Amino acid sequence: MQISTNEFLLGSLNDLLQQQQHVNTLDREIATGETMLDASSDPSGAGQVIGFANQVGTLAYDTANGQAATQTLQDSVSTLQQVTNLLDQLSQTASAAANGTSTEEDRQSDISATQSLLQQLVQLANTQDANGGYLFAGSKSNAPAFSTTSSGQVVFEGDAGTNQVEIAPSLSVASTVSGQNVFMNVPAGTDGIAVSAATSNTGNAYAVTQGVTNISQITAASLAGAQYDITFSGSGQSLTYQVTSGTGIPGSAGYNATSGVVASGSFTPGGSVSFAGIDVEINGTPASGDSFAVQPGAATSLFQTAQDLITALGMPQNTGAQASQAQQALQNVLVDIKASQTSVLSAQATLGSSLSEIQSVATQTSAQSANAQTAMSNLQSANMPQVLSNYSESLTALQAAEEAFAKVQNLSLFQYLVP
Amino acid sequence: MTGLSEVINAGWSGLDAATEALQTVSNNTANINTPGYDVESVQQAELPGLPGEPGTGAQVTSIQRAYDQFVFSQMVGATSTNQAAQVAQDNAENLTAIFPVASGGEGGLGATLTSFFSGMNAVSQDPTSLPNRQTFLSDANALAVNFNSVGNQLAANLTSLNAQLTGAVAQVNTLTQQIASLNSQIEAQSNSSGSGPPLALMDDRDNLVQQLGQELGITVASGANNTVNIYTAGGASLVAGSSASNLTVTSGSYGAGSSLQVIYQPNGENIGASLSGGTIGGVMSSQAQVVAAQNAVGGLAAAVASAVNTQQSLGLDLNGAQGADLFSVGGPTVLADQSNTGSGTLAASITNTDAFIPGNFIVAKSAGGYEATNIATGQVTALGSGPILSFDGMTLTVSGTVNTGDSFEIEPTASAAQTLTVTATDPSAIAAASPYVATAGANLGNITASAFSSAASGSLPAGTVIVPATQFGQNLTVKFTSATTFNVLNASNTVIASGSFSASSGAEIAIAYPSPPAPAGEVDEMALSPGTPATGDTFSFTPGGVASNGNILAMTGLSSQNLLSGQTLTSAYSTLVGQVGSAGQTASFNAQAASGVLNQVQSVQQSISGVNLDQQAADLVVYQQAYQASAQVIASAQTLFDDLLTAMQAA
Repeated sequence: MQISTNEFLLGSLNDLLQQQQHVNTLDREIATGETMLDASSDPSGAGQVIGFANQVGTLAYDTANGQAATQTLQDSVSTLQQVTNLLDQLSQTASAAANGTSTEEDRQSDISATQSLLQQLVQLANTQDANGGYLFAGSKSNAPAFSTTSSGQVVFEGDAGTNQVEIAPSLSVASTVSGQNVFMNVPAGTDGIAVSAATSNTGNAYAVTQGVTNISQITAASLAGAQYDITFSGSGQSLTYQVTSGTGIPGSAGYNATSGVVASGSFTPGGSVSFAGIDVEINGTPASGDSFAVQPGAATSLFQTAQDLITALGMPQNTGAQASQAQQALQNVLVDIKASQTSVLSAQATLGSSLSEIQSVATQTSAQSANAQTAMSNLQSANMPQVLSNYSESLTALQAAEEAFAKVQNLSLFQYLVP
Repeated sequence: MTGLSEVINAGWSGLDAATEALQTVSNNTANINTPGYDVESVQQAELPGLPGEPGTGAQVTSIQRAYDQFVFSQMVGATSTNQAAQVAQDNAENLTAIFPVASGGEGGLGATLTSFFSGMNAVSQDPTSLPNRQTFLSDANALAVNFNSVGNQLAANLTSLNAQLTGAVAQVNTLTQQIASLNSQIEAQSNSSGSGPPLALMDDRDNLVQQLGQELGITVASGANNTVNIYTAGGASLVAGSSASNLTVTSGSYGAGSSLQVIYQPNGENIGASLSGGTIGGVMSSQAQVVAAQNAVGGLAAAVASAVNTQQSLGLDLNGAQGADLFSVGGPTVLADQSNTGSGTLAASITNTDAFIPGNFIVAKSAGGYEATNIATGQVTALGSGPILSFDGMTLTVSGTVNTGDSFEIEPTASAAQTLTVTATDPSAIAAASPYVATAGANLGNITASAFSSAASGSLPAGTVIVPATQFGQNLTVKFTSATTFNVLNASNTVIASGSFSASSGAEIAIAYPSPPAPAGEVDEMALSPGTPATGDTFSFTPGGVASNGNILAMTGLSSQNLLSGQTLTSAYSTLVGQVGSAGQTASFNAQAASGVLNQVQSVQQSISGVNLDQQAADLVVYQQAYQASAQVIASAQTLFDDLLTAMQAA
């Protein structure tokens, strides 16, 4: 079979060009370090690479979110820690005043100290983050969360809006707490049960609720304004108590008994009275006709509690009855401070769990991100030793082909026929 | 009895034959680079003498070209296939370049989508930060610009493919005319004398046939008197003897913007679909791929715009107003068939991108109602009798009179990528905030309020209190009137709704969004926890403030939601990249295979018809020697004759 001269040359040339193309591809792979130069070199891998790149990107901004949130969370936590410290001081002041040895002068100086504590508390509650946003104002962070009215009352100006922040795909944690939940809306009393002494009491007793012993007995009716009244009669060994439930002020014209006598019995000073799942401890000796009202504690605020302390410290303690009233007020303040501490602690717990979740997720996301990057690199990166050895092989082959071509193109019978 | 004159005559005939053979050799070497040239050779025969006597010399009976009809047809076919494969490969390379994968798809739509959501996340992390919002807006612009650029590149690819098609069809027409004209000359010369076929003309003609094969897949059949007849792959006659039929390229009956048609002039039919091979075949298959990519990218653009705009309308911007659209995107293109007899029109919109499958459709009215035919797959969907037609997440509204037989071409997302723009310019226009925040009053009961979230009113549990949209944006208060009932009051303390509360399951309250801009039936909903409320307990609903991120957080969630054809945006994009890549891979394999086949066939053809210079050199020597020998015969005869004359004179 003959081979046409042109075919002979063109064929070798085509082979040369193919070798060159191969060398060129390997050259690009070496220059970029990647074998997947376009989607057609590995279509299914290309789709995966897009997915992995998106995963890496997503994990990166989730991690950034977590870091930014950490800043805000730590601001909030440290602020709340200071609040807790101030609450401890309030508690110490109240305890000192309630131990019965404080003098009028002590109480006066306590009042000014407490006023300053109250101001500090408001300042802390209005803490701003690095960008000037009020940490505890809910979603209305562009205005101070709390303001003080002309009458000295601290009111909340924000809302209960709290933010979640995405720290991993489909995982969000709370990044803020609202001042509404931390400082305001603290249920007064123990377990939300508050006690108050009638202003007409003449004995020197005060009451402290020990809280709810049986939650099922707290009914909607009791929350809807019903209260229990503990009334004492008799004296000495024949001191007795009687608990009635009703609405309105006991003994007044508007009083409306709902279920009559709930409990009754004789009373030994220093003992406690239990009824309807509630336990009330009566300290001191009540006089006949003295009464205490037990009812669900209305929502109070941390600031209100501080103000209550100032009021209690200012109460006259000239007579035994006055001292009892003051003692009752101080005891209620102590209970409310405890409720505030609980509220602040639970907010700290929420923020703390967000912080720890961010930390543990960060480890996880960086591992995930590394995995995705490895997977992507496996699909994309050139195996350098292999590529380089292919490259030198191809180069050798190309050189050989070129030399062969040079020799072949010189072959012609005509050369030898020339005379 | 033989005389000296016979010797001279025979020698002379030998000289003649050798000269003709030498001329053939010189013609062969001269044409070594002439495309389509088939190597020629002389056929010699002995001139017979009288019976019992030697022959009287040699004669050249014919000049033949080395030509194999079968190999030639194979080569034309291989040329067509190779050309189609090369065009498809070029196009696939252009296409894959638009969807980069190097370095994790850097610069591609996927990477831009990721940074778009990254910017969005930064806003959700701190919605009050104007720099964050500005960055997000820039990311949105970058996304739109990237979509525009991809859309424009795809449109430019289509334009260049169309130009290629128009050029190839013009070339086909020129070539068929030339072939027909050569056919008629060949026919005339073949008839005129017994001097043998006009080889040069036939070589020229065959070369043109091969060029025609480069433009279009054809079938070549031999005709009478050395002519050829040429048909398209679909059987339409292009060249019949000395007459040629033209093709034209026109925009289809759906007018400008619809895909081009190739019309067979003799009967006016669109034979585009039956053409394959050559540049035209390559363009046809490439067009389908570019259109598919264009629709898929457009689908992504439409899905991003629709999802983000909807989410915008469900939140409040930094000024406390209901969010306006962030993106604007061109809607579906509807092209009416120019031959429609009715005056009716069709309006198309994509109502649910998740159910939507990108692709172009023909919607035609038949006796049994409307039906949609997917142009790429041919799949037919019956749509009923209207006037509202819904399928695959699209809603078509028919207005006016549409007659049976009327049809429309719908291109839902062909222009979406090119038309995607960011309409918001003010960073405060990003609707990051929840419409409402619930704040409990100084309550005695233990009911807590959940955060608000948007929902479709149809998905709400029975008994949900829905505050009408007219109250949207106002401060509202929920006030318990008993342990089991509550009222919803507006800012002026007017009761606008009331509902019942269950201690075991709580209650749900929703505020309807003004629609539009929000989708119809969309509400902002919250739940009051189960528990015991006290009469007089309140919850105030106030519009979300500047730090609220409820809505932008929901928007970031779009990145993991199925938004297009049951896929997330990223997975839809990676599917597209995979498809483009595998089309590219197939095209590249095909191109390699086709060029391998072509080389193979070419070398077979060349081994038959090509010129080998060594062969010609050898022939040259052979014929040169034959010439010299014949010359020597004549010289010898002359000497003999002279000897004879001398002898006669001497005698």
